[in-house]
Amino acid sequence: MKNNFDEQFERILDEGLKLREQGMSVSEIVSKFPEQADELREIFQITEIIYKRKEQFAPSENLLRKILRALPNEARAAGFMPRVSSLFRWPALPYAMATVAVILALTLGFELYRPVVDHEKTAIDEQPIAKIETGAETAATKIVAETVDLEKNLTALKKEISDFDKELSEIEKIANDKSFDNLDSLLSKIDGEIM
Amino acid sequence: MFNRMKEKTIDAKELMRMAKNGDSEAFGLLYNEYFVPVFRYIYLRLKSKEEAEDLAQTVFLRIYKSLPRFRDQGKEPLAYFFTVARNALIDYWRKKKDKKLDDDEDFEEKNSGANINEAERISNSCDNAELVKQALGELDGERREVIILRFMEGFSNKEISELIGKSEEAVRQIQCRALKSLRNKFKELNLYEK
Repeated sequence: MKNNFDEQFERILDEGLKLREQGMSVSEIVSKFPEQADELREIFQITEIIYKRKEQFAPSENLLRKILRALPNEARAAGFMPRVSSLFRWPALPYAMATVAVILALTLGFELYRPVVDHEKTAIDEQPIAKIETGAETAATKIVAETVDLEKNLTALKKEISDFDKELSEIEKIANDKSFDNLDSLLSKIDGEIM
Repeated sequence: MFNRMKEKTIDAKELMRMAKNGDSEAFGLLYNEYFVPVFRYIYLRLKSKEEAEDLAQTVFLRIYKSLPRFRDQGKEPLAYFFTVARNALIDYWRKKKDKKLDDDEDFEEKNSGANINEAERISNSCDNAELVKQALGELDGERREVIILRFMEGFSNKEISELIGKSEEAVRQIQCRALKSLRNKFKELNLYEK
């Protein structure tokens, strides 16, 4: 049968534990209940020892991993199928899927766009080259033509020079012919030969 | 000091909701968070670590399989994990020749031969964790359970009362009597820190 002392101590202990939980120190609590000081100190020490030792009752790391690995297999065997498969456990998957979709769209779009791009590329490329080729041909033709003309002119010039040389030789003959009395007679004779 | 709420680091209710909807990763996070306290609770109520490991595996498989049926009743998921563990312990003892929850005859028989000299030798080897386990083992099942839940796992008296199906007043009484019993045992095993 519970006596009043037990009931009283239980109430004090309960109060003391509440105050301890609220952050009051052991010495402060004990000072509130000096008659139960020794018992309270021992009991608070017991609760602290129990709390401190709890980490030493932990399982092994291997057990942790072993159970976690075994869970999906056993759960599947028992008929529990997660709605989300392991493939979709990757937290970034939605972003990855969006990225893949964008890449696919870009690839398909590029494939569709490429003929247009290629045609334009060819047409664009052909124009400058064609012009250059045409221009080159034209220029070459002109140069050839001019060269031919130059050659003709050169030939004509050579002939004139040759003719002049002949005439000059005649003039020298005449000049060396001392049968002329004066310069005027000589000049008249040269004019006559040239004409 | 032993207030579990202050140590809370994850949104357990949200993870539980996600795990219930089939998110295996959410369940994995809950598992990482709760496995140690649940294992510890089981281990301190059984004799050997091997038995505790086997039962812990059973408990977590049961939890995983029961997720689709889980209903959020406003409590912390840890309470659900402990409820499953508690029920698994009851089933375990029932299978072991219909033992009741507070009947730890085997456990007490194993420790009845320990004397104070042996206790001193053990304490000198700094294996105080085993002595604490021994001291707790001297309590009956109900008192031991309340002490573990209150001072190791940080459950409030209200949470403990919901878990074990007793009133808060009853839990307070159990707690006080358990602590008074432990005073003598700790003295005997020289567990008080100088």
